[in-house]
Amino acid sequence: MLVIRELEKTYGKFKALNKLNLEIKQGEIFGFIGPNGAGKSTTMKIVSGLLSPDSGEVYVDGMDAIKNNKKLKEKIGYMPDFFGVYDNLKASEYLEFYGSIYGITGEEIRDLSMDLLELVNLQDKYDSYVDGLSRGMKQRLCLARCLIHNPQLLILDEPASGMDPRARFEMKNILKNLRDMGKTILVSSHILSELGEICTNIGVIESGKMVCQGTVEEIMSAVSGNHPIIITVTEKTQEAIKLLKEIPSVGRVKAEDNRISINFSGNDEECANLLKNLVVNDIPIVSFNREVKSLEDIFIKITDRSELKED
Amino acid sequence: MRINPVLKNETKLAVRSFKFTLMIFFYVAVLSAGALFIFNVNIEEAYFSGINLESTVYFYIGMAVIQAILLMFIVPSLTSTAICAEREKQTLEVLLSTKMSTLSIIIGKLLASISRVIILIICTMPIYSITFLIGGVDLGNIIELSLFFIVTTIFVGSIGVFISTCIKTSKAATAVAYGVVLFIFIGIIILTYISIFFSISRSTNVQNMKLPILSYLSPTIGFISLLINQFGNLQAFEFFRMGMSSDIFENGAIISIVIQIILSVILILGAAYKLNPLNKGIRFKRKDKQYSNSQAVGYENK
Repeated sequence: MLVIRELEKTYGKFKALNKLNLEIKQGEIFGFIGPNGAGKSTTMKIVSGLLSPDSGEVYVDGMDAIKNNKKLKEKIGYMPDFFGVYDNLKASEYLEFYGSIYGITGEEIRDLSMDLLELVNLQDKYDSYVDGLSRGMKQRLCLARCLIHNPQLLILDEPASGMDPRARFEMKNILKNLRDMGKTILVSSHILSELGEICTNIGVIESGKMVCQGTVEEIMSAVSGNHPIIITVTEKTQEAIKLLKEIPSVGRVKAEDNRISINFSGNDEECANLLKNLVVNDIPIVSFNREVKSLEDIFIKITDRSELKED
Repeated sequence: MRINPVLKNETKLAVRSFKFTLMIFFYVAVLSAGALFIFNVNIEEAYFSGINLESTVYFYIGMAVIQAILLMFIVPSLTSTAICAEREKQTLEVLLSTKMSTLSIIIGKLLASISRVIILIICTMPIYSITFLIGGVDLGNIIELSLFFIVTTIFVGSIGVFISTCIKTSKAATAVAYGVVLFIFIGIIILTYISIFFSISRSTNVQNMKLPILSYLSPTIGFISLLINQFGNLQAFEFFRMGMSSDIFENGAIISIVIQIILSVILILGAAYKLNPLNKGIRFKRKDKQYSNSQAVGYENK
C-alpha cells in the first residue's frame, strides 16, 4: 500500500530524513515511533503531498506519489499533529465543507456526516459549534474529516497527543474500528504504550533513519533476548549462584536476598535446560521468568543503541 | 452549479460574524452622513441662487471619492489576512492536504472578500440615487463607476491575497498591504505629478504632454479619467490636468481597467504558485543537493 525508498530531506543544515525505507501492506496499522524531531512528521508530510523530498521515492497503492500529487490526495486522509478549526461553524457544516471539496453535496453529505460522527462518537454534537468542542473531540472530528472521501490510506500524526486517558482510550477504540474496516493506517507517536495495543507493525525512527521495523512480536522478542532472567528461590541462594556461574551462556549474575538476576544469551532450549539443571540440583524455585519490558523500555533501548553506534 | 467550497464556507463564516454587521453599519453610515452633508450644502446654496445643476455633479463626485477612500481602507484589511489567518489558525495545512488546488483556494478566498465588498457597493446604491432627484447624473454613470470600483476591488484584493501568501503573520501582512496600496493609490500619483512638473518646466508645448505609462499602474488615474470623461472639464479637475489637454485622460479608464485586470491575474497566479508547498521545495532543492553532496564528500574523506 505504501512503499518509501531512500527518502531524504534536509532543512538547511539539518538532515531530517536520511535514506528512510518503509513498507506498509494493505490493512496494516503501522506504528511510527520515534523521539521528537526524529523525522516522523516530515515523512508523513511528504507522503501526504505537503512537502517535496530532496530525493527518494514514495509509492501509494503502486502509484508514484510525488508525481501524481492530485490523485494522491484522493487516496489518502491526513491528520496533522497540530490543527485548527473554523470558529462559527457547526460540526456538521465542518464536514460538509470538506465534503464539498470532494464533490459530495446535498443529502449525500448529510447522511455521510452523520455516519462519520457516529463512527467517532460525536453523533450528539452534530449541531454543536466546532470551537466549543474539547480538544479530544476536535481530534476525533478531524479524524472524521480525514475519512470523508473514503481514503485507502490514513496518515495520522500524533492523533492522541494532549488527550486525557479517557479520550485516548476512545481514540484507540476508533482506530481499532478502522482497522476492522480494512483501512491501512500510518500512525505516529512518541509514546509507545499508545500504539502497542492497536498496531500490527512498528517502525522505530531515530535521526531520520529507520532503526528497526517489524511486527510488534518480532520487535519485542528481538530486543527482549537481552533482558535478564529473574529467578526467585526460597533458600540455597549461594548454591544456585554457584551452579549458574558454571553455565557458559550465563553472563553477569546479581543476587539480592532470594532474588537472582542473570544475563543469559542462550536460546529457549538452553533456557529450559538451565531451569531443569537448577531443579535437578534441588534448588527450591518459586519463580523463573524473563523480566518483562514494556514497549517504552524497548524504545529507549533501541534509540540508546543507535546513539551509541553513532558515537 | 458547483460553487467554490472555500467561497461558500468563507461567506457563511463572514455573515455569522459581528464584524460584518459592524462593517456594513459603518460603511453605510459614513457614506450617508457624507451624502447628507454635501446635499445640505448644495440645497442651502439653492435658496439664494436657484438650483445649480453642476452642484449635483459635485455631490456625485464627492460621494465617489468618499467611497473610493473607504474601499481603499476596507479591501486590504479583508484580503491581506485571507491566507495568514488560515496559517495562524492552523487550518491551512488541512486545506492543502485535500485535493483542492491552490489556485481554487486563492480564487475562493479572493471572491469571498470581493463578494463582501460588492455587498457594500450595492448597499450604497440608494444613496447615489439621491442625485436622480435633481438630475445631472444618469444611471449609466453610476453603473460605470460601480464597475470601475469592482475592478479596483479585484486588483487591490489580489495585492492583498498575494501579500498574504508571502508574509507569515496577519499583522505584518496587513501593514505591508496598506503600505503597498497607499503607494499605488497616492505615491504613484505624487511621483507622476513631480515628473510632469519637471517636464513642464523644460518643455514649451504643454498641450502635447502625455502621462507617463507607469502612472496607469495607479487606479487613481483611471478614476480621475472616468470622472473627467463623464462630466467633461469641470473646474474641480483643473488641478489634475495641470494645464494639459483633457484628451490624455480620454482612454484612461479603459487602459487602467485593462492594466488592473492583467496585474490581478498575475498576482493571483503568483499567489497560487507560492501557496503550493511543493513549489517552495523546488526553490531550495539545488542548495540542499549541494549540501548533501559536500557532506558525502566529507564522509568519504574520513
